[in-house]
Amino acid sequence: MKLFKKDYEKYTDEDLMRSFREGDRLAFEQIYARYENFMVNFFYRKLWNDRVKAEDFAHDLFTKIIDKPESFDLERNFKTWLFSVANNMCKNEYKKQEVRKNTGYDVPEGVEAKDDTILPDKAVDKANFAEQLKIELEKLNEKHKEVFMLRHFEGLSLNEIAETLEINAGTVKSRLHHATKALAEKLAVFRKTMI
Amino acid sequence: MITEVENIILNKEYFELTPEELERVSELVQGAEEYDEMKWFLGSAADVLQTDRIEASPQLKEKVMTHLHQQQGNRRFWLNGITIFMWPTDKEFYRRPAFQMSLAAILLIGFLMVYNRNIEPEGTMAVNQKVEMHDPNTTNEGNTEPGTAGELTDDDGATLEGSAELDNVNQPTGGATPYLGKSGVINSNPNDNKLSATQGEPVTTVTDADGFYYRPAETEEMLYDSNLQADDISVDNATNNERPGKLIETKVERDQENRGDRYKNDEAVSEEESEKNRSRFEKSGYKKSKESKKEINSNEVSDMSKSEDTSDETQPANFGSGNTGGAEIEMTEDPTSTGIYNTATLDQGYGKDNVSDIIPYQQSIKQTVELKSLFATFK
Repeated sequence: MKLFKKDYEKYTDEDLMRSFREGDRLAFEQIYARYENFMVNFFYRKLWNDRVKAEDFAHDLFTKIIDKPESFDLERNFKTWLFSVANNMCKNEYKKQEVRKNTGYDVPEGVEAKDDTILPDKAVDKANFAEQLKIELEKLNEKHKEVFMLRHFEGLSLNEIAETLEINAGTVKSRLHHATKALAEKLAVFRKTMI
Repeated sequence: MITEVENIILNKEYFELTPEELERVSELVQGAEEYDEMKWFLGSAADVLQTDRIEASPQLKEKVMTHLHQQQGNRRFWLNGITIFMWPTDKEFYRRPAFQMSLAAILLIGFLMVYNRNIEPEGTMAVNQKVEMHDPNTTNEGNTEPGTAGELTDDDGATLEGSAELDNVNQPTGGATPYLGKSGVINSNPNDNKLSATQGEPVTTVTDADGFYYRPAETEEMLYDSNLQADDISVDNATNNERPGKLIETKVERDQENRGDRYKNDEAVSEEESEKNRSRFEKSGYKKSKESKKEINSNEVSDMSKSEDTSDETQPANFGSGNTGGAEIEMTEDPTSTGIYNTATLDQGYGKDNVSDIIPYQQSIKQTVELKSLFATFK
């Protein structure tokens, strides 16, 4: 029985974590509901679009929070902390694999991505654009790619990206700027064909 | 910021940009053509990202929740929810609900204690002040034999009505507690026999704010409202013969009431009346016996806590003359009144210069002031 019924939807992530650290289970359930899909998709893009692996990594992430809630520093932003933990998990996974897959996104069969230029005579539709985007992302520098993905795929702000990656906000800005311009130039050919 | 730049590019056309926005956008694109290309790219990338998202399976949530409920080590009773709410550790001391609620409770209780305090004055009002003095030496004999001590007689030796009653309280105390003052009863109703004192009973005198002396009542109920604060009540008592505790009516006040000119200048009236009474007294033939006069005089003196010359027994009573003592008590029968009253009781020693000596020391300051003002009117 709860004497004081709390409206967890109005709580911030940090308040929920504080309550969970004191033993409030409902607070953690609220946190899980907020970040379940975010983390699954993050791992899905990071781990070669492997759905099963993505859910496993998401399960491991949340169980770590359940086992050690005190590992979260209440002074920090929970969202950036969560993505930083997930990013470190992916780095560890990369090391375990020892083999970095150049295609970070599984490239469907029949699509060649070796040539940097896209022949304008090839009619490509919107579906091809998506595939080509993934290919071009893999060709980017890891640092630029990481920043671009956090910004456009995860929806983090510039400061949040800086906290997640533990780098300077200006560095994030420059990397993101470079990645955006490079991808826009390489995929500009699709603009003429896509209506 | 890049975020702002992207939002500007996605939401506005190049020609719609303000100078400030154009300056920001110039960090990413140069010119209108690049602006359009970037606008298309960002829009297309957002569409791709939206379609490329996946949903977590229900089994994932089930696994996580199972693991959550299996952890009992850090689980606490539901009461911790209250503790967390009342005493959060991450907030300042003054911002914690427990501190704020306790402070509010203290203020509320303090306000209620102050608001509900007993505000009744403790003895500040002169209401029913009663002083009981038990003097074993006091005798209250209702001796009505003519010529005896304490009895007033006329020239023929007839006992004046009420004279014995007058004598009952004018006895020397002999004890430690002095009288509050002379007290006597002038019964305007000769047929009233209620006020006979009994022998051996302790004398209780009561004095009201107006300075009127009350005959000691036989019972405590008779003392009810015998002490009067308002002048109108004292007047009511004077006229209401059935109320316990008779007033010694002053001739002045009685005449005023009879005439209905209550609001006449007291000083002028008293002066006028005093002249009349003076002449009447001088003509009256009622004289008290020497012994009774001496005794009364001595009692009056002792009661008033003053030592006056009481040897002069021939000096007549004198209104406002400053005669402090020794004056014989002369009784008069006012044909206009319904009874006999002893004006000398009040007249004697109530001169201008002796008011302060007459006023018993036991009276309160308020009563003292009122007595002084009252005596001033008798001049």
